[in-house]
Amino acid sequence: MHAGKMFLILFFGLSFADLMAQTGRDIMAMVDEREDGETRSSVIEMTLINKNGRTRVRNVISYQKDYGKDKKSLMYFTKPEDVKGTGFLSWEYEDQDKEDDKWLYMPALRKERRISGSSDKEYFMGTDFTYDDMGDRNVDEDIHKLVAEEEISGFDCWVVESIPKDESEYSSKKVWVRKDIAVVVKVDYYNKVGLMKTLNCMDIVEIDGIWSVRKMIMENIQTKHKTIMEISDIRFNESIQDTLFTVSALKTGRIR
Amino acid sequence: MKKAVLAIITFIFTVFSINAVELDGFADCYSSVGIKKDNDFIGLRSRMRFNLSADNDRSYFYGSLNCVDNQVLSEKEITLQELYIGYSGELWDIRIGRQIYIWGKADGVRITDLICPADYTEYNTRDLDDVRMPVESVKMRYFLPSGEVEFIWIPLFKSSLYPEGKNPWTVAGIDDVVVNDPVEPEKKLENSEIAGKLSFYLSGFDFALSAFHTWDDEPVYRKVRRNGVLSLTPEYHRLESFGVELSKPFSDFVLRSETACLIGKYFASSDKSGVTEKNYIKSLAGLDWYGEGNVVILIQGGIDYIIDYEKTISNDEIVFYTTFNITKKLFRELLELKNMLYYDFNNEDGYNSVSAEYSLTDDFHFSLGVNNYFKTYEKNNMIWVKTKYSY
Repeated sequence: MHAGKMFLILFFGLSFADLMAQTGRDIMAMVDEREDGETRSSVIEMTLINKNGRTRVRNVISYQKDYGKDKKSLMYFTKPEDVKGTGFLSWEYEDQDKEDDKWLYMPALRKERRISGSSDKEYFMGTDFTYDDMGDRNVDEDIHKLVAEEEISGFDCWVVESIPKDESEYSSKKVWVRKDIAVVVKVDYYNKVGLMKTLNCMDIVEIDGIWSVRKMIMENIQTKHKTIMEISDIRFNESIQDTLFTVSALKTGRIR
Repeated sequence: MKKAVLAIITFIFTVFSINAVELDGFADCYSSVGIKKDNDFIGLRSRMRFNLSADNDRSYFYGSLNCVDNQVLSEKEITLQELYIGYSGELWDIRIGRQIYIWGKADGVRITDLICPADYTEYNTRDLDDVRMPVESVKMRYFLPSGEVEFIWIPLFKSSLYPEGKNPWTVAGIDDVVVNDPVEPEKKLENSEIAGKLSFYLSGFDFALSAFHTWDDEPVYRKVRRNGVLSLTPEYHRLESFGVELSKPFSDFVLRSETACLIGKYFASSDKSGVTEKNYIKSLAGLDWYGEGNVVILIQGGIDYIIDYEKTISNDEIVFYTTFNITKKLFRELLELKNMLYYDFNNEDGYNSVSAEYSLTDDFHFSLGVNNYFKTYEKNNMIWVKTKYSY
C-alpha cells in the first residue's frame, strides 16, 4: 500500500474504503467487485404481497459458479406446486457483445428449451424485482455520482445517484452503500412519475468471511405491492461440480 | 391390491430415507361444450394425479398415478402414468421403467419426437403428457463436456390410440368394410426399438443428431379380399428415423429447426394392396420472440415430403403447414392469455384456440377457452372450462 495512504489511515482513523472510493463509479464498482466467493448456493423464498394483503410464495434453490469474469447459474423452482421442478440454467458473459446462454426445463414438457431475450427489465416470477435489480446490471450501464453521505441504522453510508445511459424502466436510482463493508442497504428507484420503488436490505451477516444480505424488502410505492425476499442456507466457496451447470443436469429435473 | 400398495410404500421408505420422499400432484376438472347445434358436451372429465418421488443421493424413484373419470367416453380409469428408478453417476445416468419421452425442438409438432406413441382419443384437448403414452424402457446417458449421448431401449411395441365408436372425435370411416384384427409385432427381443441421440449445447448454438430403429406407431390398412369380400387389416411396419435438430438464439429471438428422414414409411394407397412404402422427410423451422412485457411469440412453418411419390398414394406429395402461438402474462403473472393456431395449407384444415388462465391462488388455477376447428372437426367447435388445484 502507498505509504501516504497508510499514514492517513493510522493517524486520522479513515477506513480503507474512504480513501479508495473517490467517485460514485468507484463506489458502485467496489460494490460490484465485492468478494462473493467462487461458488454460491442458497435457498430463496419470495413472498409477494399485494395491496389487499393477499400473499403468494415462490421458492427457488440457487447455485452459482464463477468462471473468471463469467458466471454460470442454475435455479430450480420448488414452489408453487404447478411450477415445481422447473429449472433455469444461464451462462452469463462479462463481454457485453456476447449473448448470454439460457435454457429452461419444464417438467410438463419433459424437454429443455433454449430461450432468449434481453429481459433484464422483466419482473422475476411476478415479484417486484427485475432481473436488473437482482444483480445482472453492469456498472457502466449507468452514470454514477456521489451525492451525499448519510447514516442508516447506525452505519455510515455513501449515497450514490445512478442514471441509466440507455432507456430503462427507471429514470434514476439513489443507492445507499455501507462504507465499512461496501454492501447496498437501501435503494430508491425513480421513474417519470416520481419515487417508484424502495428496496431495504436487512439481516446483513458475515458468512464464511463474506458479507451477505439475508432479507430484502422491495416495495412498489405506486402500486402498493411488495416482495419480501428471504435467503437462507447461504454457502460460499463449497465445491460445486461443473457438471451441475450443464443442460444434461438441467434435464434430469432434480438436483442431487 | 392394498397389500401390494403397502408393500410398494414400505419398499420405498426402506430403500430411500424418509425425509427424501415427496408426494405431490394435482386435481383438475375439464368441461367443453359444443357451440353448434345442440350444445352437446364434447369433453367432461375429472382427473386426480398422484406423483410420488424418493431420492437417496445418487439413486431415485418416481411414480405417477392418473385417476380419470371421463363422462363423455364413459371411462373410469386408474393408470400408471410413469414409474421408474434411476441412478446418477458423475458422468452418466440410467433410468429404468415406464417413462415418457418428448424429443425435438419443434413446439407441439412431432418431427423426431417418435419415441412415445400418441393418444389421440380426445385430439388436442388433453395435456401434452396425457397425449404422449409412456413406454417401458431403459434410458442411459453419458455426459460430454458440452453435451450428452443418449440411448433408449424399448423392448415392447405400443401403438398409438385413435378415437373410435361414439367418441365425438371419431372421423367417419368407410362404411361396409370389415376391419380385421391388427397385425402387431410379436413380443420378441428382435422386435425391440432402439434410439440414440448425440446432443451438443454450446455457447450460442445447440444441435443434435438422432437415429431411431422403431416401428411406425400409426397403422396402415392392407386390403384383403377373401371370397370376393373386401376387408382391411391394420398392420405396423419397421421404420428408421434419422434426425437433425438446431437451435440458435440471437437478440430477443431463438431460431429452431428440426428435420427427420423416415426410411420405410408406409402410406395408404389406391393400388391392389392398399399400402405403398416410401421414404419420407419431415422438416420444420421456427422463430421464437421473447419480447418485453412478458410476451412470447412462436411461429413455425413445416413441410412433409414423400420421396419418389406415386399418384396412387392417398397423402399429398408435399404438405405445408404453420403454427402461430402467442402468450402474454399480465398482472404479475396472475393472468395468462394465449392463442394457438395450427393450419394445414393443403387441406385448409386445423384449429385455433384462444384461452385465458387465471391464478386465483398459487395452487388454484381457472382457465377458459374457445377452440375453433376449420374442417375435419368443425362440428366440435367449443367453449371449454378447466379448474386445476396443485398440491
